[in-house]
Amino acid sequence: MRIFTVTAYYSFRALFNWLQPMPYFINRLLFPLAQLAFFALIGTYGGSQPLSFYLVGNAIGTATATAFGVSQAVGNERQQGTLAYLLAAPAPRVPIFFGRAALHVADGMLNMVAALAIAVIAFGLRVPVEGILGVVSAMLVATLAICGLGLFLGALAYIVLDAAILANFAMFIILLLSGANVPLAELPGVVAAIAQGIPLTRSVAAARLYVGGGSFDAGVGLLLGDLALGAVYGIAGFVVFNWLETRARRGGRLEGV
Amino acid sequence: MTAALRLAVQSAWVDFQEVAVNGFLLFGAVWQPFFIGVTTMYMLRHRADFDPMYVIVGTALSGIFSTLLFAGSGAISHERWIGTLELLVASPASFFLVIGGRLAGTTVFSLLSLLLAYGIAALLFGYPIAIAEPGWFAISLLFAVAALWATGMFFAPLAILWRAVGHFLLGLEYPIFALSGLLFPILLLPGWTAPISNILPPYWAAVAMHGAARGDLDLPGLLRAWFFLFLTGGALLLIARLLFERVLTRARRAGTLALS
Repeated sequence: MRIFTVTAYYSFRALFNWLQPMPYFINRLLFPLAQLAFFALIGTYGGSQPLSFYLVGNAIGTATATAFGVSQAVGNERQQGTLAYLLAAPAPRVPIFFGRAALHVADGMLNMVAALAIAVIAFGLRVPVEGILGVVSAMLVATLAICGLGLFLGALAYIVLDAAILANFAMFIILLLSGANVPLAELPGVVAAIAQGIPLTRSVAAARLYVGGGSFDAGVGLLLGDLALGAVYGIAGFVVFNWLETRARRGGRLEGV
Repeated sequence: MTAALRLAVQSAWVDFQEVAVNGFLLFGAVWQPFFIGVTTMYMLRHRADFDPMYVIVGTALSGIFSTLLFAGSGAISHERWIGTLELLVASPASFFLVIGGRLAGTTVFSLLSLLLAYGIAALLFGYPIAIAEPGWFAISLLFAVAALWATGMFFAPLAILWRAVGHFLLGLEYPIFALSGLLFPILLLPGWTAPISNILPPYWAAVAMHGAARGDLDLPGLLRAWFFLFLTGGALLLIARLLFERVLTRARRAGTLALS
C-alpha cells in the first residue's frame, strides 16, 4: 500500500514540473476545455445534432487528457533513464504499475467537472437534477477506463519510444470514433465495430442518456461495459510491462527492448 | 546577402531532414490534420450549403499552423537539449536567420497537410474537388504560408526565455483555430473576439484561402485579405526580429542561455 501511495504521489508530481504550475493548468485544464469549445462550435455550425450532443460528448471526451499523464508516467521511466532502477528494485510490480494511474483518476474527474461547468455556464447545457448522479458516474467510469488505456499505452511506449505521440493518437481516435462528435450510426460498419472496443464509447452514450432524463439503471450496463474495457486495457498493459521486463532481463538490454 | 541566403537555405535543408523523422512534428503535419479533417467532414457534411473545399482548406491551415507554431520554439529547445544552443548563438551567423531558415524547412514540410486534406475529401469521402479560382488560390496559399511562417518566428524566441514554452503554445492551438475561423465562421464567437481575430495572420489566411477555393470572394475582397496577411505577418516578423535581439541580449547578460 505504501509503495502504491508513494508511486502515485511522486509519478504525478514529476509529470508536470511542479516548480511551475503553468504546465499543469495548460495541459489539464486549458487544452481540454479549448478542445471542447472548438468541437462544440464546429458541431453547432454543422447543425446535424443538437448542441447538447457535442457538449456532453466532448465533456466526457476531456477524459482523454488523462491518457497523456498516465502513459507518460509509465513510459517516461525509460526516457529519463530511471527504468533500470525501477526494474532492479525488489518492490512488487502491481502497486508500482497501477499506482501510476491513481492520482490521475481524481485529476481526470476534476478536468471533467471543469468541462461540464463550461458546458453549463458558457454554452447553456442543462443537466436534470435526477441525472446528476448518472453523469458523475459516467465521468468516473470514463476516467477509470482512460486510465486503463493510459497504462497500456505507457507499456507500449517501451517498444515504440514515445508515450505522448501514442496518447495523441488515442485522443484523436477516441474523439472520432467514440461517438463524442460523430454519431456511431454514421460510421462505416467496420469502423463502428472498432468503436465498441475503445474506451469512452459507452460512457459518452450513458452520459447522453442521463442528460436526456434517462433513469440511472438505464445506463448502468453501458458503464459496466466501459469499466470492464478499461480493466482489460490496464491488465493488458501490465502483461506487456511484465513481458518486456522478462525479455529485457534475459537479453541484458533493459534500455533497448 | 548571398551568404545570408546560403545560411537560410542550409538551415532549411537541415531542418527539413530532421522534421521528416520527428515524430511530434509528423503528428502535427499529418496525423492531427487527418483526424481533424475526417471528424470535421462528418460533422459538417449535413449542411445544406456544404462544400468539402471548406473542410480541406480549414484542415490544411490547421496542420500548417500547428506545425509552425511548435517548430520554431521546438528547434531552439532542441538545440538547448543537445547542448548546441550556446555554440549556435556564439557563432557569427545570424541566429534569427538560422531559426528562420529552419522554420522555412518545416514550412515546406507542413504543406503535406494540404495534400492530406485533399486526399481525405477526394479518396476517403469521394467528393469531387474543384478549386474555384486556382490562380488566386495559389497566391493566397503563398501569402498564407509566409504569414504563418512569420507567426512561427514570433513565438520562437520565447523558447530562449522559457524552457516550458511548449506547454504555453499547446494552450494557444485550439483558441487560435477558433479565433481564425478555420473550420467554422467567427460569427459563432462572441462579438468582442472579432478584433482579436483581425490581428491574427491565420484569420486572414483562412479568409483568403476559403474565398479563393470556393470562389465566394471577389478580387477586392481577396486584395484586402492579402493586404492584411502582409500587414499582420510583417508586423509579427518585425516584432520577432526585435524579440530575438532582446531575449538573446538578456540571456547573454545573465549567462542563462542553457538554463532558462
